[in-house]
Amino acid sequence: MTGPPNIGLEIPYEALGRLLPMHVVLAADGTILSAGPTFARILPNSDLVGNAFLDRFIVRRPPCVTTFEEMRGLQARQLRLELADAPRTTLNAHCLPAAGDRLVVDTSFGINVARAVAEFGLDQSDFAPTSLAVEMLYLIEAKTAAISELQDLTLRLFEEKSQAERQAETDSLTGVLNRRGIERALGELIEDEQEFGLLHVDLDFFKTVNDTHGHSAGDQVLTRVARTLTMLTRPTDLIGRLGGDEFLIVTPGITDTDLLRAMASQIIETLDRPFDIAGCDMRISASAGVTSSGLYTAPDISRMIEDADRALYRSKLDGRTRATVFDPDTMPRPAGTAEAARAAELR
Amino acid sequence: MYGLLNRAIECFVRDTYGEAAWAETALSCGLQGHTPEPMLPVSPDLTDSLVADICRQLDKTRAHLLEDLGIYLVRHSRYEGLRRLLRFSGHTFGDFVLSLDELAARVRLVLPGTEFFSLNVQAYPGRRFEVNSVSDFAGFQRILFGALRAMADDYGVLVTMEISDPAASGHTQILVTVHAPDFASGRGFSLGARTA
Repeated sequence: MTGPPNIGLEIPYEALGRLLPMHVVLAADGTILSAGPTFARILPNSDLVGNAFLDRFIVRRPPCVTTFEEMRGLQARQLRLELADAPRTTLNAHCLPAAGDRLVVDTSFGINVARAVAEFGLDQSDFAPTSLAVEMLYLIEAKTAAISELQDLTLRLFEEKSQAERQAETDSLTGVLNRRGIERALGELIEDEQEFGLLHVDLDFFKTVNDTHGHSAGDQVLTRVARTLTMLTRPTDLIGRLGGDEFLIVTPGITDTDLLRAMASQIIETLDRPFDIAGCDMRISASAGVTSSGLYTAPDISRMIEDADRALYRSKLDGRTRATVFDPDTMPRPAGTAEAARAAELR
Repeated sequence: MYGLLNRAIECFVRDTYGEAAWAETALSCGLQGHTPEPMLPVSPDLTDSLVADICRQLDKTRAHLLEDLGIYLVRHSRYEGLRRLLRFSGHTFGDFVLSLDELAARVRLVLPGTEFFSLNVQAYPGRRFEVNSVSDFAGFQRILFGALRAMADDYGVLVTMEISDPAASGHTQILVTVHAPDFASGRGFSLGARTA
């Protein structure tokens, strides 16, 4: 056996150039004998033919290849080359022996084809008809467009989701939070171990307004009350409507019960003043129950709301139009049916 | 692909006939302003409603409208990306027409799972091509007809084209004859334009 079987094809350099537009043929000493036509497009001002291969190409992989003899030994391995005259252009390459101790080196742009095509202004005719370069460029463009659409879609859906979540936590009549929203906010404050005050404000004689002036007027009163509460609290305070004529106010950072009682009293005083809706004089009032996270070692939402409720109950028992701070010692639950019935009556 | 088609129809109406024309169609078809998200699956019924309403409004036949849509998709700057993707298939107009066999496969590379249409091309002497198509969407061939005409302009080629109505088998035929391959300069196309 004298060596691997030889196809014995004779191909003129020009034909080889059509088969392999980015090849070079090297003589035994490493001089470039011919180069494929695409190199003329990439390096219009350099002559490859007649120059030493390693003057025009740098072998980056495998590392440490500096002589032509070393390069000859790398047949059947993938090489990575760089063009000396266009340093940012990397090429994948491999080589095979040809008759007369020549070496054929074929190259391609590999993953950087898109950048290379843009940089050198190449078109379809610069690639062999069998090359996948054009398909690759198509795929890159199509992929980019598809991903861009999907990113836009994701953003839109995320916006809609956020909006839907906000809506689910908003009281549609007054625009303040609803029970779900305020309870979630309370949960977050407790989880973050933030201190806060809690006011439960309940309107007195609201039922009368509804009965006398109708539900539409009642709705306007509630909206007005929500606005008043917003004006009398800080931007960082949270207001929620628990349904009916009950509101919760959460005051992050304020736990001083005297201060909280003063806040509640100011609110009650303001709501006590008559105001005009559609030409009619509205007279309502309010009572409040106050508690604060400082009163608990482990604040708990339902417990705190319940306690604020108990304080509110006390306000009602004491004559309404006042705020009471929760005191565990003096405020028993309305235990037993008589008390519970009375509590319901007072509402 | 119906989602994308609906959105294309919407853009076509807005860009060609204005906001008021689109608003009227959106109302008739029960849409809140826009067609549904194009990348999400949708029933083909909406497409037919949209086309029917626009035809009624503009007093056009379905065939005429869909042909105009095909032209729009190749010519309008909003769909420049699509025109570019089509140009990838052929260096010359002749190459492009011959490559239409592969168009469905190219679409599937980007939008897997779409079996919207299938094309088959025969070439004849004298630069004549026969493009046979089958599609779920009645009128797809009209869109293709318009698009082919616009692509001929894009390549700068003078052509005459004929279209037959769907045969019993559902196939339609578009005949393309190229008269002057270098008739005009057409619109340029550079492979690397979108990567810089």
